[in-house]
Amino acid sequence: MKIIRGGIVYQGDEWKNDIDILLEEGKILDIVPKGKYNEGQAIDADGYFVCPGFIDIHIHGCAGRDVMDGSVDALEDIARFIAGHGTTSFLATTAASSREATRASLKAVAAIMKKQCRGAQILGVHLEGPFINPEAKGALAGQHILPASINGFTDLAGEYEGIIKRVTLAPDVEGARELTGYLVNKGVVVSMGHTAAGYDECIEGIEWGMRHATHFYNAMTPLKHREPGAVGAFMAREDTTIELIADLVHVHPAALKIAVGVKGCSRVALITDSMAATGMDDGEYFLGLQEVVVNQGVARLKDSGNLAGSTLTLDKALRNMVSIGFQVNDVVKMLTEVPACITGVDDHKGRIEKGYDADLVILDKNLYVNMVFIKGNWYGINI
Amino acid sequence: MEIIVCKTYQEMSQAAADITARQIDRKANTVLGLATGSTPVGLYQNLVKMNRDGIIDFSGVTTFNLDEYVGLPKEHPCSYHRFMFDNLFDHINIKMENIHLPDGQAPSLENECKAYEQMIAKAGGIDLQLLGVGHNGHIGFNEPGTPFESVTHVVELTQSTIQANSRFFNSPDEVPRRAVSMGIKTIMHARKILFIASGKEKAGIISKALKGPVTTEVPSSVLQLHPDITVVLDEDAASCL
Repeated sequence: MKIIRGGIVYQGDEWKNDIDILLEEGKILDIVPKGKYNEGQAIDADGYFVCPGFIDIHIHGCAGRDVMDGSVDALEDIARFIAGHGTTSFLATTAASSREATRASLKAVAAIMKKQCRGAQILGVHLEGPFINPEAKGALAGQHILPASINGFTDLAGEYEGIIKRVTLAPDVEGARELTGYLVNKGVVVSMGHTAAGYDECIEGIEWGMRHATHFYNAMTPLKHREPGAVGAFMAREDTTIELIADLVHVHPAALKIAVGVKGCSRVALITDSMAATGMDDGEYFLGLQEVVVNQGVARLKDSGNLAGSTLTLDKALRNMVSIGFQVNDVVKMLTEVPACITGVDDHKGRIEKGYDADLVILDKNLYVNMVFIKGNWYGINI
Repeated sequence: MEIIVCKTYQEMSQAAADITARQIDRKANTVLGLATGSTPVGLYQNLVKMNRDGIIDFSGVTTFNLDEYVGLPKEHPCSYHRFMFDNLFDHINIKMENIHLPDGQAPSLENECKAYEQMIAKAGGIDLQLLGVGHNGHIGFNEPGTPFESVTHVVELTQSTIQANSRFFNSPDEVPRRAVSMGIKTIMHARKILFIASGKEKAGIISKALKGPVTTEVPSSVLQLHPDITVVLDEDAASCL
């Protein structure tokens, strides 16, 4: 048994002092007052914040690697890199690409999900595209965008359909309604994004089952007072969730405050949408097959200049949000409990509760990661 | 964690050399993480002998040392470059291009740290990291308080480490105040760790490191969380366990 001793523990939306967390067999065995048990391996967390592990439901890559590399090695590097930044589980996110390339990525994810590897755990795949509106493609490859259809989806997914947990879909592409119905039935999260649809069409999409918004504000119709757009639709509908890229580049700090103000932090997830250059030097990279230039940490497509994912990590997102005035506990909620709920893993992840997975991040006073436990083990390894 | 207690320093050195030899036997292109200080000298003597006797072949082996002083020329008798060549590299069939130590005289130490991490990654990561421990529990030059997430970085040495090292220099003033060291994360990401200690004066810190709480105040305590670590001690060093 491991004992995370005496930390400032995030539990039930608030901080509790002098708490010991007991870990056994990858789970949280109990949460007790400090010093109640002395047998076991103690990990001193005195003066440190102890939070549930962060969950990133939208990440393409980092450390020079991309989910679209289609290799187990790449996924392992990604998993290990983000673990060092507090992320203990994630949805490996694809970018619209050829059927072969997508299939290769799905295959690699399926393989890694079966094996024990060091680093953050992969919860499944988030397909970003190809069923999106080319007018709002952002940094996705236009030549690989497809109209939506059940056949198109099952053909793309093949034998790996079971690991696809989330699909980003535009309501304004042909066949979107039909595919949304199919996916919702299968328990897949359908999120609206890369869309040029106006308010009414978006409300319709929400009715079909698109209850989450992909990188809110980015690659969607803005809020205008007579045409509230996709942004207005998700602000108006309380029964929806949104995700935000908190790198302070993709979304203005004031817009972050407005979104969280309207939705409440229990309906906002923070994501990275990060690409290969994350954790690397400025230079030239790829997002999927698109050429990207990274300058001072800002990634843009070489040809169009569109923002091409971020170079953000979730611990940085936490510090960014706190730097613009958010409370640490509210931000932690948006990094843990909310993404767990959105992906339906909230019965065992996203909170520090008895019986939950022992996924924990220990942060110092300046909110830098000191230690990460994944299923009770440092960096998730137990050989 | 496997703990092997040997009767004497000589036996400890032989046991540690055997573990290293087995690793190289299993994987000819092993990436070794190496350490300096008085503890591994006996281990290195054994490796030299085993290489001479044809028991170990270093021709495919790559090495990365934990640390080096800032500002000390490579040829300086107290540099870790010199230590490693005198005690090991000059006497074994390792390829020069496969030997890596941080360059404490690099024009940009920040770039040197980054490059060192990248070289380790490019080599495929460290297979076996050899470690000793300082009196205050430091590993590499990671002094108490170093974050566990640290990677290769420039370290301001503590007074106690400067004093412990001063016996190798003519006067305490000559002892460098800074070093480049692998970080704790760099060390912890090695696939396997071989942790050695000898002597009564290490008994207290060994007990803290292996049995005490995991805390940044005792950097070596983090080793308890490593999934594949072998500890080789002589009886004196194990006397407080």
